[in-house]
Amino acid sequence: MQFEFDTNTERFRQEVKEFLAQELTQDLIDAADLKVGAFVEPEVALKWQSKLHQRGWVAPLWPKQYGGTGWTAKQRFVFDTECAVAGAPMLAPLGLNYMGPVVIRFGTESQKTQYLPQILSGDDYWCQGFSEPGAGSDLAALKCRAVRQGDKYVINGTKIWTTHAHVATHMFCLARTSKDERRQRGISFIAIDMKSPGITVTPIITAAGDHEINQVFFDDVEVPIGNLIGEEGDGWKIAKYLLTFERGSFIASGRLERRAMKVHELLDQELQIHGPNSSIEAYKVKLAELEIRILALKCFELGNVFAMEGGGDPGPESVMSKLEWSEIQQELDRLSAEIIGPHACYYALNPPWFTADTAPVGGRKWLTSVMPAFLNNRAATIYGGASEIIRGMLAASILKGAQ
Amino acid sequence: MIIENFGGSEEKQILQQSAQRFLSEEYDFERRRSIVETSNRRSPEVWKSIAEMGWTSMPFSSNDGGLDMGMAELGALAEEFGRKLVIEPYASTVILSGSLLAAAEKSTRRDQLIADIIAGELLVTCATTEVDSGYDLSRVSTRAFRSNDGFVITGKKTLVIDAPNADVILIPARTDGDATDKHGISIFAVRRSTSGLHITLHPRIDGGLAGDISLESVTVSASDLIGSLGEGLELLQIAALKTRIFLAFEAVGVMKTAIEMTAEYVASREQFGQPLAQFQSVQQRLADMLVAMKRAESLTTVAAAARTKSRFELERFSHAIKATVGMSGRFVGEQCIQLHGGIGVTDECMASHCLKRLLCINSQLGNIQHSVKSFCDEAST
Repeated sequence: MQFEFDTNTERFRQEVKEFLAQELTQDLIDAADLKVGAFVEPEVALKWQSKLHQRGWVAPLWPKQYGGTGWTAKQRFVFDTECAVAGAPMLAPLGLNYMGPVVIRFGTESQKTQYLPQILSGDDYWCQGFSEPGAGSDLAALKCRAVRQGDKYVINGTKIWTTHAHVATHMFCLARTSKDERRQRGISFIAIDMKSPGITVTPIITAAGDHEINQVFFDDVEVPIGNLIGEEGDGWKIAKYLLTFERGSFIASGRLERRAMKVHELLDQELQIHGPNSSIEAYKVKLAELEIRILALKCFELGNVFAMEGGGDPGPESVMSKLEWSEIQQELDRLSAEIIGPHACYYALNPPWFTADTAPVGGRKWLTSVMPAFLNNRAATIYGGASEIIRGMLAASILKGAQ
Repeated sequence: MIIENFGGSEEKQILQQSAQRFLSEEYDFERRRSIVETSNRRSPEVWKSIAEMGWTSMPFSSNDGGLDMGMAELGALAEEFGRKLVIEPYASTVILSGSLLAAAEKSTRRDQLIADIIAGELLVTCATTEVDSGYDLSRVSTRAFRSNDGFVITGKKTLVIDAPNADVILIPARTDGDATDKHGISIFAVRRSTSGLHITLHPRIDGGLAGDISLESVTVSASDLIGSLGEGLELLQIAALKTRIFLAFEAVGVMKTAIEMTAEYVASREQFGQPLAQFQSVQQRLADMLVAMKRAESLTTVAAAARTKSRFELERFSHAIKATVGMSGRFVGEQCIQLHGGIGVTDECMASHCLKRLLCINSQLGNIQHSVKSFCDEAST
């Protein structure tokens, strides 16, 4: 179901559609559809990023003066939706959606010059150093330490679940710069060059058998004090800004609509192979149920869009969209796994799966990615605010009114 | 679908405030209970106020003497009705019957019925269900044969909402075709007191009334025909569509009440030496209730702001809304009882009444399974 806006926004939609028809090539679409991890493979995402960069459309969340698009919330909604539905790869969000806005808000002029153009062009590829072995949902328990020595910080400790650390050129990292205060204080936000001596990146192989995440070790890593973003001890505040920044501006419904389309294709393939079949007919109704949930999420996102359009804040309930999209994604994965029946035990041996030479199994084109995606997407309800944490936040907002 | 005026107009806010004021003064839970305990299970005084405030004229066009208000304003009213579990026959009279009459071509009878509804002097309902029709509006076995100067209607209708209180019942009857034809259905406005029309009264779980109607050679005049002969299905579909969306807003209001009362209860009730709200299992359940309600509310909010020329698109959207409201409503109502513990299952506590109203709404004009299936089937047409 498509929602249209005023004439200006609809004219913009046409521009986006024309751009996609021109620039979004089939290899990019296939790679995005066959994505099995949280992020699209860097070479694919960067190829798409450079096309968007040429057009000036790479950073919808940034102000125009820094190379952003200056779009309205409605335009962002239209852009994200059209791209996702057409099957465009998702760009790596850590530089564009996290580090960029943080630097724009808290960075010095020289940090802006140093980092922002490189993020836009994709020459710098960022990873995020937040979680640690002892600090998952309880992020404030982090132990990684940055000790100031003259004009340098010396960093020791470890970060875990670091997506694409093995290809990243930079990391933004939360580290303790002082000891004896409350847990949330004494944390600072520091940019680290991944080529710095003393950094070791160790792969973590996921349940799907591929390498997307890592553990990163810091062994007396020296970082110039100029890499501190904001003031010393501002880390918690900045991390909260970063996490709430995307809240309400992240549009997931388009991507879920695309996934639902792919599940439809799977269903159609099975129907062709098996003929009309009652158990497969039942999947259609199950899929319709999920499409209705996606539609409800889309309407929820629209509410956030209009709240922001009026200059407002989407409010504390906007964390709900993370909960919803991650759970709907998993429902789609479950349904796909059911639809492919006996092939749900198939597990490709040679990741990544986006390469064109991956043989279709049993004549089924979209089958290869089903189980790896299912397995990796179990992480969707864990990262970026575990579902339990989000439910706790939602409950707190309800109970606040009751007490 | 084109989205305009997201969040609604100033008119909507004024309406919402006056509805809140009126209902909090005149329709608290104890008052509702006393109304539901009367034999008619409704309050003529409340209905009089509803008409005086202009609410009975809201959806009608100014040509028909109405206020020309759209779904944004009607939805705001519906949500307030839901919040207080208002049991008055508003949806059946003003929305279901009103939309059917408004969509029909003008006639003396039609115009008079609308004028009487607006004046608050007439309760009307529409008999959308027969024993074997389920939610299929086109499945009509009741027949109307031409007689000298009118029609003679024979057949049965079942579980017609608010029928025992209605002054006039809109009866879909076949003037042509067999039971499942899309054409050949005509709508007749029949007074409840007409000879040959009998109503068997049924209590509804939400405290209201419904009735089985039998029509044995009921004679009506040609002027009682509403709309064109044989083209009644279209009118029924329009009326059902608007009522589905109206009921969805109402359900959102019920869910909001259920969540608020649950939050207040778990914040104050202590067990194991602490408020229930301290337990994470309780918190997580409460969050799920909020999420379920938000799914429904997000859809109704967009429905209030959307306009489309495509009936098909709107039909499909209404099925999505009704399905969501069915699922969310049942969940929120059930969990409201669960978190209240023993008191939640009693008649005394409002929790059980929230669930009952939500279940009633689900059962009308398309339950969960029917709505999902309709949404699914219409994708391929």
